[in-house]
Amino acid sequence: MSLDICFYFQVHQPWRLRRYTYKDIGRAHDYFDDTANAAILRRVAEHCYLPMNALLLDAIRTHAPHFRVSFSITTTALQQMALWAPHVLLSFRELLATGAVELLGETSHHSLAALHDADEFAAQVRLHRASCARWLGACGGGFRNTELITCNAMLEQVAGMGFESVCIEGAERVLHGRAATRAYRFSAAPRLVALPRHYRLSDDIAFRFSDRQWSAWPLTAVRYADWLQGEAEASATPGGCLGLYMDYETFGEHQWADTGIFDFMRALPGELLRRGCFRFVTPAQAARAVAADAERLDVPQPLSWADQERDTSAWNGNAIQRVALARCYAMAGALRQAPGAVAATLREDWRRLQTSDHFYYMATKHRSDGDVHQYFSPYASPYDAHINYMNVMDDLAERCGQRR
Amino acid sequence: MLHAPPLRVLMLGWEYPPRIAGGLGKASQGIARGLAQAGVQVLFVLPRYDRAVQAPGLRVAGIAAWLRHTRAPGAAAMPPPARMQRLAVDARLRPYAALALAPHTRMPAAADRVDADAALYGGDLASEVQRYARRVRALGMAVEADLIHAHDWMSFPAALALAAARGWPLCVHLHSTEYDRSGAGADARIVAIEREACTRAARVFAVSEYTRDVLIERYGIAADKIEVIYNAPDAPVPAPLTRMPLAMAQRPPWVVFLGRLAFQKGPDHFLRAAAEVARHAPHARFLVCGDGGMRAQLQQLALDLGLREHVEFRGFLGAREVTRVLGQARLLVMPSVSEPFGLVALEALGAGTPVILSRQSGVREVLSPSLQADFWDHEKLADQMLAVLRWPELAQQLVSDGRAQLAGLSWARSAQRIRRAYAEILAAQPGVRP
Repeated sequence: MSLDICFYFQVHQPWRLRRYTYKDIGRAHDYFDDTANAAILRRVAEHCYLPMNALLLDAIRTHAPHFRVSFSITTTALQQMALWAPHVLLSFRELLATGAVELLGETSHHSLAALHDADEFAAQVRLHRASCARWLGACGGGFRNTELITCNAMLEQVAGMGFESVCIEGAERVLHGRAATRAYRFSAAPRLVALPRHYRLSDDIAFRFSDRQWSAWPLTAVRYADWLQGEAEASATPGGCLGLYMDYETFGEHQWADTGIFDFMRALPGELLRRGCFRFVTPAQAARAVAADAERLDVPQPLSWADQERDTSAWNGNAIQRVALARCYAMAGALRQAPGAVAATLREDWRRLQTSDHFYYMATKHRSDGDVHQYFSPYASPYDAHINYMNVMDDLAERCGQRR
Repeated sequence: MLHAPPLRVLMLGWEYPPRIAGGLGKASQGIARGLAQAGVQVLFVLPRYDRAVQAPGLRVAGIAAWLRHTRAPGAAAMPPPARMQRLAVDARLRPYAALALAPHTRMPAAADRVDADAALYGGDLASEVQRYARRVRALGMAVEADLIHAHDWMSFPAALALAAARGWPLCVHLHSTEYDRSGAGADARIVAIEREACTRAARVFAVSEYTRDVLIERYGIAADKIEVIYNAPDAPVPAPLTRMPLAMAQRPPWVVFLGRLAFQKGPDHFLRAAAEVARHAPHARFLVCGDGGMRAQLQQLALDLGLREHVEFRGFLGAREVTRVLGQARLLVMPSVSEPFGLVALEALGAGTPVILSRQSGVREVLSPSLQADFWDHEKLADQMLAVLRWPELAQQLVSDGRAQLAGLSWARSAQRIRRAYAEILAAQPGVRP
């Protein structure tokens, strides 16, 4: 049996907020921490984007035309690269020019608009397409929503915007015992192909790779290829597809270079191709092979790739997150349609405040997921994240002519 | 198989409910009860105690009463009377003189020291401490114990004298240190007592990592003999509570400071942050609960800051009043300059009231995540206070998360760790208790 391998990497950087107190409200309208954002972007560029792009470019050339990968890059990340590390944009363009890389669509601001405001969701998907065209090149027919958040309600809209496939978490909740190693279609929008993420094999790289307590540590390309081969042999039907989706920052940032992550990724494509039973595909290629009457996935409740729950509780699981989200999306009416340059500035600020990271920092889960939230957070506590965010929202509301 | 006889500990302390000035008495009670429940026989002796606490494995008494008891024929072997009994009072010791007593006689070398101590413990504190030591030593010759466990410096001279006389191993328990209480104005004699007791003790219990670090860095105590024993809430708190004693929306906009009006507790920082809050939330009311040497100075500061209409000085509150105020307030702020633990934070959460903690406190180690600020960062304190007053969702979240964290703390658990430490100490004592 053979198996298609679909690598998809998420590139994202939020506009982190500066410390913004009650004293700033109504006086200062610069919300973002340029110093920290620039420093983080440059650090991640140096540790991850540049070396990993070089590694992938090398692999694509070495194994041409057999090695392929896909990316989605948020507009907020592109904006910051353009400002502080434009050579990273060049490096991504070089990758895209090989023809072996597909760019996926998503929301411009890595937002939760799909759950809150359908019009805003559509506007951001268009905006993202435009920013990709401006800085990188054309997007393909694949779509992934913020943090792989997927639900029936948004799928019809995604199909209506011309996309062919959607990456989705391969959770038991939607697979109901069926294999995570093949493509499906969505019952809510049968035109769309569903490409499940194999979360165990994805997280083996993204989370467990450097864990010395893990029984498989240290993970080698040969051992990992053995696991994938096991999946290939177990896959009953030909044309199986295994999705390995992860944050791009996994490489060199979450897993540092000294963990051996780069050596692992350098060796993996050759190790898989050598075995003769694997083919690398992009979402567009994977979708093309899926029959019109493929089995359907139903996603009545939102699904995501975050936390143990794989739902949306990482962003809206507690009361302070929900009140912040409600406040943010309550401004839609005042902002979306307003004409003029001032409104455009306000709208961009508002969109940067929609980025899911702001709500992620407010999570109060206590368990191992809490540590993951804290790892990413610039705040001392979820409550401080909430206070800072609400202060900024107060100012934005005032600028929009709303009373506090 | 022979059952080992129960472990007998002689506890020496300075406060025990209901007569308390702060956290020390409550912590003493929690520990003593926890140990008694864990099967340890605890005799808790104070310089003066006008009640008799009697529970299985636990007896609490003033030293005069104990003297009378042990001198009665056959007293050492006789179980104490089963019923609560009001014991006679030693008129010379008045450690629990009401806080209203003024003017306080302070320790000569510590005139600027915080004085609620002095107020609580009576007139000339130094001589009372020495007197207590002499009497404990004398009386200690009449009872048997396996070890001594002493709470805070006032009982350390007594503990050291008795330990030397009887050869019993000594544990000292630091609920605060002189550096916490007095900062740069630390009384060298008290520091010397604390250092000597910690150095001679077989084990030092510290109420937090924060205090443990002070003992290592400022007292030079060997790190490996200091064990952190966290305080706990009075009663186990059901976790996590969705229903609160009084809903946030129904509470008056009270922001509470509760503690001695002493440098260590940061009441001046509370007022400075309050002035910021009052400018943006004119309806807010700030309750300063507690008494101490800074009172007049703070009242003047409140006027200078334009807080005349916003601040109420409530004075020292009894246990029932504390519960009532905390149960109605919207927020407790603990802006301590140095806070070894901060039991009041647990009490506030128990009453369904959110807290802002000083980053210079021990309690933050057990309440994490939580709202915290440096005591000197008045802008941050004000920012947090304004937000909690404004957003009931935030207040509620802080309470339910805080209470869930409290569920991990109990006096029983802390007592188990102390009991284990006792056993280790005794095992290391050749020939005492095989």
